[in-house]
Amino acid sequence: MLTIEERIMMLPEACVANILSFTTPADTFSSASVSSVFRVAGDSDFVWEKFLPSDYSRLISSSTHQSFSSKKELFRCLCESILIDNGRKIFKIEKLTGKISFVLSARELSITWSDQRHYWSWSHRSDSRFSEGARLIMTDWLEIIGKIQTGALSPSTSYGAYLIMKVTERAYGLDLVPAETWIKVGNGENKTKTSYLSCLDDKKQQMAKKEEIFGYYRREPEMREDGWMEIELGEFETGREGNEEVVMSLTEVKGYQLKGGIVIDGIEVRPKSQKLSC
Amino acid sequence: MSESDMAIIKPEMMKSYIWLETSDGSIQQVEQEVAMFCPFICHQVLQKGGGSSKNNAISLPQKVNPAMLSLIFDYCRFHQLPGRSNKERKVYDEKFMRMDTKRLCELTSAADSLQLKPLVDLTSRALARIIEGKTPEEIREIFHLPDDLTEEEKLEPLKNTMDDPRIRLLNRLYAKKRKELKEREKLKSIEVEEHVDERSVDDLLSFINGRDHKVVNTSKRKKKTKKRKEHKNGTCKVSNKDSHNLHSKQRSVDETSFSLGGVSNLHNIEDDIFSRKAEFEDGYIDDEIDPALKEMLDREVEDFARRLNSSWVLSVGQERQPVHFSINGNGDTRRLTGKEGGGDEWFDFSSVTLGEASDPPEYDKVPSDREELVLDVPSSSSTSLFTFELPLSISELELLREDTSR
Repeated sequence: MLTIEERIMMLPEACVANILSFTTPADTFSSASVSSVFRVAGDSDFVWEKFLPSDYSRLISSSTHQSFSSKKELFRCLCESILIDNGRKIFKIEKLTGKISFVLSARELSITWSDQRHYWSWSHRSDSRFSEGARLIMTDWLEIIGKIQTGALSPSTSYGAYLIMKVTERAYGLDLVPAETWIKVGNGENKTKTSYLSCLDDKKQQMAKKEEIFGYYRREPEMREDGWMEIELGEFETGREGNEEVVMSLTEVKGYQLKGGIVIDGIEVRPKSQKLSC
Repeated sequence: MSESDMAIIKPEMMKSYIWLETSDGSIQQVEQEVAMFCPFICHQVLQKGGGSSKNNAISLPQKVNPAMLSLIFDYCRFHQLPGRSNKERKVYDEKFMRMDTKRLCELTSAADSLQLKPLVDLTSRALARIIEGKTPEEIREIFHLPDDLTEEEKLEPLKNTMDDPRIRLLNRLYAKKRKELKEREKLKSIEVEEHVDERSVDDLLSFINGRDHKVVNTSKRKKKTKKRKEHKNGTCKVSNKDSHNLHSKQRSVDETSFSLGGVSNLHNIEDDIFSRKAEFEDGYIDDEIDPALKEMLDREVEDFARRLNSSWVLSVGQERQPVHFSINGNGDTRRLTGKEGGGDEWFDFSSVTLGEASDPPEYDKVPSDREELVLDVPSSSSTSLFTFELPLSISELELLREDTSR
């Protein structure tokens, strides 16, 4: 028998589903252990449809022919990285927040002179997430540009763009001049930052400390979990609606020296975890 | 509103009222334009001609009591005026929502039964803000919800979807793990049975080329099953036959491992195959059973995951797109490591080899903490990178169970 309180506050299942649709996927997953009403509501397609990106059917059909018996299952499938657009991009939904992230392959980017065989070499790499990566043989003009539409991303979210790369053993010319990175959304301004393309090895770090060359913070590539390095190109916010083009770029054209020995896997666009604008 | 509808509302009664009866029997009248803002009332008036007099009062749904009705009409009275700006409306809404949770729930139910969607959404958003980030216990407390899920249900939040053998298998594996955890508490003395259940050996050790003649045969049979699966077309739906295969094997594993004897049998077989008798002596069962059981179970999970995923992947890969999955075992069990480059989440499946009948057993090379499993891929698979992920990993399921999925 229900208490008075229980009876008063008892919400119909449809209402619970509506409420859950305003929460996050994480809350909805955990709602399965709250009560039977919450459990059923949390499994309903109504809720998961809201968490799915609007073009989910296109995304799924391009990567697998599996049929799904519920939207929840479909959501879970999209939480695994899937290759879309002929293997040129990777799409993923972050499971707990429902936010979208992309990785653009090197082929999807504009890398100046990458079609020249003696400047860049394209090959299959076993450690790459795509079918091929680009390796810089030599150039004095390093320019990498990636583009993405805000409409493809989650609204009202802070995103960061990261160049996924590696420095090979025989790299050269990378730590003389820092590269410039910037991001531009639509017609907005671009804020330029700088970052070195390689990390100082121990010997040079010692030397640097002695000579006190670097009075400022020297940005360097950071290690990722998958064995690659990443350089943050910048960050941007997606609005509540609208579809603007985001241009992300890394260039090293100011140093006249030849450089070589970096491998580009792609650019990752993922939500920045700290703050979320509402 | 159509012509005939207009006729119902007499033009001379500019300030007309609608009569309503609430669940407690009391009758009141409300300005027409306010009441008509609610689709339910609107429908009753227009389609059924109700509300025109005290005797003809529209009886409102049960969830609408007088207090809620007056709140709802406050809302309607404000919003039905077209002259309000968006900002005004927003400010009003924010203020309106400041009430305790109990009233919010009542209001949601009432507004829902009157089909007043804007108000339902408003209250739902407020309730969503309250729910966000809370554990199930906290939510139950706030909403005075009965704790009406069985223990079983709480631990098994996955719905049994009819067509997905992976989820069914996951549920069974999880159920098995839970039972194992329960039984572990009872493990004080174990009667070691000599009888070996062949089918469980098959299931668990099919990837290891056994010295046992029977094991060799069944592993060959498994190869053929796999090859048959490869030749299947298009859709990823595992056919009934295949899922039955998986199920029957799974059932056998369930049966054997649910019995304590079965568990230690496998344990013993493990001894033989891995020739680590020094570590797993019979007499040492009490101390060693936990990691051994755990490892065995984890191996089962990965084995099933591998087999399921290989059939999944093979039927997906018509165009040989490398579809990415990543296996997430328990955080503290071993991960399969690829040959080069790949980090934690990815492993290069092409580096993984199943013992063929003719191949020498690879298990001798397994390092002491069993970091690497050696499994063979059917030769027709793509050379691209494969990793596997179940919809939810065991650790995720456990997290859900512990209600700390954040």
